[in-house]
Amino acid sequence: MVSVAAGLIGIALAAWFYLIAPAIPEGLARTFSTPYRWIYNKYFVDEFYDSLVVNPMVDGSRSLLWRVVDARGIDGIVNGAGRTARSVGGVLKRMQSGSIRSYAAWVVLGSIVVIVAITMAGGGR
Amino acid sequence: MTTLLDAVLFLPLIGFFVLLLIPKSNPSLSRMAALVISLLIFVISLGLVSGVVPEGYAFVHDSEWISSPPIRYHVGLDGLSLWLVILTTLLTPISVLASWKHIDHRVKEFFAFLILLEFGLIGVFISLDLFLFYVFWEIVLVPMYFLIGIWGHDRRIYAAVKFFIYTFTGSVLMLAAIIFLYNRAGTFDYTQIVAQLQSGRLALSSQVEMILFLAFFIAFAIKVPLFPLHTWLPDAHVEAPTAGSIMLASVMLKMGTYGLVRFCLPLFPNAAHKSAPWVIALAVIGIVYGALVALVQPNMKKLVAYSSVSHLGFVVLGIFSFTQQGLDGAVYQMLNHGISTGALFLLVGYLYERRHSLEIAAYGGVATPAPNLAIVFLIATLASVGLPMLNNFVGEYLVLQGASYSNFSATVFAAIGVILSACYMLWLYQRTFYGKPSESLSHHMPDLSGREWAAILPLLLLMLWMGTYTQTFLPSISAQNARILDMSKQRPAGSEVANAR
Repeated sequence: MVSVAAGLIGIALAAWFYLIAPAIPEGLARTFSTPYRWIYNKYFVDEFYDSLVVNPMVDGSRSLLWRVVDARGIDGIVNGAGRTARSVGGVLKRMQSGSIRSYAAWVVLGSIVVIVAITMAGGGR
Repeated sequence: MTTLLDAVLFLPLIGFFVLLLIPKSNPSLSRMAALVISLLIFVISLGLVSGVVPEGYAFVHDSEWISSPPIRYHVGLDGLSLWLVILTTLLTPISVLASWKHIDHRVKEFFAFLILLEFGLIGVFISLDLFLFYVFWEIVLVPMYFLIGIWGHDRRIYAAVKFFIYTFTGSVLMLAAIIFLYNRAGTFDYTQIVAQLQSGRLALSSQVEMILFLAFFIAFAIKVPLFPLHTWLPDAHVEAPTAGSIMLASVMLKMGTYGLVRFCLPLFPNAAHKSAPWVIALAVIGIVYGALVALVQPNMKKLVAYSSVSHLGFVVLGIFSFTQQGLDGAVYQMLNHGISTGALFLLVGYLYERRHSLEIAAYGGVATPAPNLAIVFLIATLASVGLPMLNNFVGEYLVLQGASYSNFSATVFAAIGVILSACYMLWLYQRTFYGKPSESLSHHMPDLSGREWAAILPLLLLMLWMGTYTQTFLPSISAQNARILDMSKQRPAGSEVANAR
């Protein structure tokens, strides 16, 4: 009974406000401007969730998890391993120049170092 | 004796050579031949379903391949491998259809590599000899390397080399462990090694067992991929052609999770149980981390790639719960992910063929010019999110239930991943399909063609089927998982057995 009455009153009010006298709701909105704004924006619940949950999650995922942890951190280590292997190889490859003359020079130099080392250690007795 | 399984395994290899014989000047013949061959293999592979028995391997073929060391051609099929083989044979013709127009140079080689990939994948799932398994495991790498490296996008060489070296690193560790096992057991045969371990004839000290477990585990974890070994995946997916992405996500990643179930658990149960806490931790980190990073990807394929990291975390969580439900859910989820992520990559490929961009920002309002594409994409999206009545829900539910028995806090965090999956998928859908389409987009967005319908429809039907009638699939999977769990019970460590004698 009460609920039917409430429903009918609601319909009547809506008809009066928006069909018969549309100036009334505008006036009400001006008079009670602060509560009107709160209700119009659904008590800012969406904005509240956005700033508390959604934005920190999206921003944190983008700037920290993806750009720093994933791209620089984890993938940086992976690519770093590849780069290290390449630079170590870059140094080691100088030993394999393919030039016979430089090999010969290294053999002579190495032999001299070995002979000197043995002599200094007390000869090959 | 030759079995139906041998035929399903070797037909792709024969098909590969047939495709090589087709003249290069006739690309449409190559396409048609690839479609006919792959469809034929799929139809024949359906004959395997009725032959699988709940009490062990079916279609066993065990004969000598190399006499010394004794490497055998030993293959067999059970409830675990059956559906993975069917998944492979189903997705190959779908990949052929996906490449129909998209691949327009070196057509013959492309389809030849695709069929060779099928050969390797089937071999991985049915090998019962560790050496044979390893051979197939590496065969798979070769065609995929070329599929990415030749037909990929701009940074294809970088992605292909990274993919190859990354996964190869893991598999060589596994090879060392396989050789060690051979030296101790005197055989590469998986069933014999398991029997020796169960009877105590082969006993590993807990330290040795842990090292062997890790060698296998790292190889599989890279393939899954488990956090933090996942960074090859987004690169490979973004650069791969559509067919490459489909086969990579839908089937190749399952090689890793399959290996965990088939080898890591029964061969090294003590080490697996001991490692469960940190493996579960990595799986849960992967679930949440993959979902959060997927949320902020500007590139569609990267988004789906990171979502795979999240979804595969579920599979690992289920496996290492050591419960029947968890393992059933994990295996079911392997198939689900193959269906729904395969569908997503296929549909992203459709979008790419129309607009030539993978950036989400290049889209918006696609539903207006292409309503059918929008509906189909929505179904795949909802399946991926895990909506009841669709396939992923079943797997995720079983995994969460199984995991809750062994580790409830991990289950709670994993459930967060389900929520996040709705966030990133629905947000992707909103930005791509809703809104007002730009002028240029409307002009280049025809709706689905007959060929495109033919490729996506089987996947949509399977999403519904697997979501509503699990009886087709789960009983055979459960029977095999019960056996795996029985083999994976903790055993007294090697030294204790030796002392007891």
